[in-house]
Parts: sequence; C-alpha cells; structure tokens
Amino acid sequence: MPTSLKLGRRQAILLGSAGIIALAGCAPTKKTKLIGGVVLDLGGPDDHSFNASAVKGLSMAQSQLHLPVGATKWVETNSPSDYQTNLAGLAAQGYEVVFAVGYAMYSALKEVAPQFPKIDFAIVDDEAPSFPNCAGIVFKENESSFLAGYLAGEMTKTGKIGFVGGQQIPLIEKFEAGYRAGAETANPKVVVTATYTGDWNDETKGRSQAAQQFGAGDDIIFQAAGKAGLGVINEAKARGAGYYAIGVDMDQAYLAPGRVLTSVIKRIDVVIVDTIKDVIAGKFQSGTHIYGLKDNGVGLSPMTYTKQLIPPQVLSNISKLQNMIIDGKFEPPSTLAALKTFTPPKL
Amino acid sequence: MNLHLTDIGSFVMSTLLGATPLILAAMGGVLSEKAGVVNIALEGFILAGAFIAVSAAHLFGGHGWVISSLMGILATVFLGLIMGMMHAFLTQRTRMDHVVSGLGINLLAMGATRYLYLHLYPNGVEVAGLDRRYFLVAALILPFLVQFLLVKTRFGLKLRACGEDPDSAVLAGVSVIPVRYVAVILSGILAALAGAYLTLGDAHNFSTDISAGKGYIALAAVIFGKWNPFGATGAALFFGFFYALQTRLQISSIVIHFWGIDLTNPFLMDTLPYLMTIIVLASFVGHTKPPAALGRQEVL
Repeated sequence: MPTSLKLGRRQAILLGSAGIIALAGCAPTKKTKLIGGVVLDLGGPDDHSFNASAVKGLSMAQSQLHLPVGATKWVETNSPSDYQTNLAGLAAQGYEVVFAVGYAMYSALKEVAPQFPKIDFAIVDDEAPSFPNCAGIVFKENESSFLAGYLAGEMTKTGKIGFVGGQQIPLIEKFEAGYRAGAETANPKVVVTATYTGDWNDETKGRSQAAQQFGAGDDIIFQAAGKAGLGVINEAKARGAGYYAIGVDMDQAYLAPGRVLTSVIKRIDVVIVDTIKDVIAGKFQSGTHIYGLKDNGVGLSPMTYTKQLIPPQVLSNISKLQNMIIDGKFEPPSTLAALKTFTPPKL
Repeated sequence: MNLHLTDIGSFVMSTLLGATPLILAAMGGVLSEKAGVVNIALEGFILAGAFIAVSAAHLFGGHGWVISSLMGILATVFLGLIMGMMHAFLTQRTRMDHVVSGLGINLLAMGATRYLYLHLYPNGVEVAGLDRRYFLVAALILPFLVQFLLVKTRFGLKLRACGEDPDSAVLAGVSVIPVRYVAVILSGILAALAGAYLTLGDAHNFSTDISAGKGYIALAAVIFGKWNPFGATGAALFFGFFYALQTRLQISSIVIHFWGIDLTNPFLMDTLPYLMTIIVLASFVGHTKPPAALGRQEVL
C-alpha cells in the first residue's frame, strides 16, 4: 500500500464531513416539477429505432410543451431484472407519468403500479394492466407492415422478398403477418422467406441472416429486430444497387440513403408527447389505447431517397390501400393463423 | 430444397464470416491458456477493441478508408496490448485469481465502452470500414502461425513449459512471468482484432455490447479444440456452421421432427453447438487435458 494514502482518524473525519457537505450542496435548492420519465428497454438509446423513438419523444415534449429543463428523464435498462427497479425508481422520484417502453416490462409494471397510486404509468406495446393508473399503448403494426409488404411485392425483381425478426413473439408476428399479406396482395406468386435472430442486440447475426436471404435470391428484406436489424441495413448497403432493406419503428433511410426502400414507422415519439400533454391537462386515461393508420400512429416513411424509383401507379395504390384500411374495408391479418384465411382486397 | 450455386456460396461465406471473430479471439485464448493463464477476459478485449477501432477510424475518417482503417487497426493493436498487459499484471504480479481478473476486465470494458460511446457519439458513429475478407484471410492464416510459434520455436517451448510445469521451467532457467506477459499481451491483441472485425469489418459502426458473448464462445472453442490452434479453429468453424445453418433452415422452411421434437426450431439450433460441445467433451472422444498449471497461483 502506498503510504501517502494513509490517513489519521482526524483527517478522515474531516474529509468525510467535507464530502457530506459537498453532497448536500449538490441537492437541488429549487424543486423543478418532474413530469415525464421513460424506462427504455434492452438495446439502449442508440438502437436507431424503438428506444431512440422514445428518447426523441421526450425531447419533442420538452420543446413543444415548453417544459422546464430537467422535467423529463429517460433511463436505460441493462437487464430484465432492472425493470422493476427502474420503474419504481422514476416513480419514487415523483415523475407524474412513467413510461415503460417495451412489452417485456408488463409484469414488472404490474408489481410497481399499485405501489404508486398517485403516479400514472403507460406501457408501450402491451395492454394496460387493470389498475386505474395504468394505460397501454398498442400499435397496429400489421397495417403499416401490410403497406410495406405491398410495396416490396410490387418492387421485387426476383419475386422473392425476406423478413428478419428479433423474436418469434406475437408482437413481431404482427409485422410478419401484415407484410406477407401485403406482398400477397401485390402479387400472389411472390415468395416470402422469414428468419428470426432470437437476439435484439447482435448486429452481426442480423447481417449474417440478411446475407443468406439475399444469397438465396431475395432482393428486399424487411427487418423488425431492434439493433440486430441494423445488420440487415448494413448488408443491403454493402451489396449496393438492386438490394433493399425496409426499416422499422423510425425513418431509417438516413442509415443507408437509397438502400432503405421505406421504413415502417411507429410514432412512439408522438404518443409520448400526447400522453404527457394529457397528464399535464389532468386528462390521463387509463386502459388500452390502440393506434393505427387512422390515428397516424403507424405508417410508411416519406421515402426521401427512394420515392423517385417507385412507379406512380404503385404509390397511388398504396394510398388507396391505406384509405381502404382507414375506412375499415378490410383488416390486414395480425397473426400468421389469420393470414391463412386472408383474402387480398381488390384494387 | 432448391439449392443454387450462389446459395451455397453465401452459406459457406456466412459460415466463414461467422467463424472469423471466433478464430481470431480463440488463437489469443490458445496462447494465453497454453502459458497457464486462464483468459475469460477475451470478451472484454473484443468489446474494447471493437470500440477503439471504430473510434480511431472515425477520427481519421477524412483521410480516406485506407488511412482510416489503418489507424483503426493500429489503435486496436495498441489497446489490445495495454489490456493484455493489464490481465497479465493482475494475474502474475498481484496474483489475483485469473477468473476474477478476467471478469473485472470484462465489466470494465462493458462500462467504459458504453459510457464513452453514449458520451462521445450521441448520434451514433459511422466509418467507411475495411473489407471483411481481409480479416477472414488473416483468420485462416493465423492458426498456422500460432502452431508454428508453439511447436517450432524456442519461445513456444518456453511458453508451453510455463503452462505445463512452471516449477521445472524455473529450474531450467526460464523466467515464467515475462513469458506469460508476452503470451497474454498477444492474446489481448488478437482478441481486440476480433473486435475490430465486428465494427470495422462488419457493422461499420459501434453499438453497446456488440461483442454479444463472442469472447466466451471463442473460449469454448479453445476448450473444444483441446487447446490446439487447429482444433480451436475447427471448433470455431463448427460454431460458425451452425450459426449459418440455423438461418439456412429457417429460409428453406424445412422441418425435421425427431422423437416429437422440432429439430429445426431456430432457438434449438442456437443452442445446438454448445450442447454438442458438452456432449463431445463429456464423452470419451473428447478426453481433454488442459495445460497442467492452468490458473495456478503458487508458482515462483
């Protein structure tokens, strides 16, 4: 041990009390109102999709609703065992509404919500637990995925398109079923191959799966695999002309301009802003809220770099299909079982 | 199944590329463990290497991909050297338990890369990158070099002596600690290069926890391959094969049922290589003998 670190008892006490004073000095003297807290899911804020959209929602709320600095906060989750700690942590700090961003937090939320009856909770991608202070935010990804599937079915040159999912769970099945139904509507002969990474974080695995699907003749691959899905976009980018990826949750076109045909967007950001607005106005509504094409909760990206490649006829068909879904003329299947009995709408 | 030539090509390529980072890290594992130092720190080396590679390449991003990638690789080698030295220092100088030291390094790498990445690049980071095939070629040549080093050189003999019987090595005039330093530093460099493959070669960007357990799988390959460079390479290729096969079977939508179990379920396929490792190691075929002094503290 270096001797210079040895302290006498008196010095130690002095140092200790100095530390306590310093810590006390850091405590906020004027209390800012804490409004919105977000618990992110695994994958972190740098996933360019699901979590990133939630983070964006907080900063949008901050600027659009003119909230004071520090009124909103997000925390990362490193392991599923942290869900409860993180939710309870934000609630205990007194954020008026706490968002659980991710279906996996459902059971953690069920434990935490009754402990904080004065705090509102909202879970993204799952139905609300039946407590008066809980809301569920569910998106109809099958509707937006249907449009993406239609686009891919029209645009494929090889007649084969692909799908890379994160995990085989009902949530991701909604994407796959909608996508397959859309492709079938464009052209019943289109073959859709689907693989699952089983992992939301492993980008190299996403890329390896995309490489094999492209190798097997697919020319467009839709990814719904979190960070692993970024590997799909990378592979399309590496292969260049003729190969496309379809992004998910956020507009991912900027990741590989020209190689991302479109992105299936889910407006987690907008819903977070709206929910915070309701909470401030005292109009928070518990229960499950469903957002579809009709509510602008889901949709296709503006296709900034690829729009000129798409025939006008296809674009007009997409908006026609979109209106048909909004008007309730037909409903894209949300499970693979429902896909079997699905009959493509007539355009 | 309708197999085309390009199809087989992409399957083989997926196997090889899946095995590339495993081979690079596993060669590091062989060198370190042959010298008697347990190395679960491979995971941390990979993660740190992955970060520094992309970070340095980004810093020199304006000088074209050649300079940028070169600086990325140089930085990776340097960091691998430092981190290897750290593991060697902790296990050899301070006599810390090898697993504890390795775990510490892994946790340090995880926390530090996460913090630095989110702090330095809140909007992500993008580099031109280096073609994956350079790494693949390196990974295919490396086992021969490592085998040559271990079997045909004086240093290799000393290295093996340090792992098998350090007491006799001392009596024969070999300084055990310096030899182990070199072995662990080499393992740091090789594993860090495996990390550079992930970011510079494959993803062209960094994301937190990009190593995703590849260091541990590489270590499993070392053990599966009986601490032999070619054995470990074979094991890495075996893991890479299942990695690719899993996707291939999902694409082809072939379903094989055996004793009521769906053998082609992707998640079962995911665990298959590891299950096979256990079966092979537990059976008489895989009677393995690790270096006798592996992880021992009491030498010298």
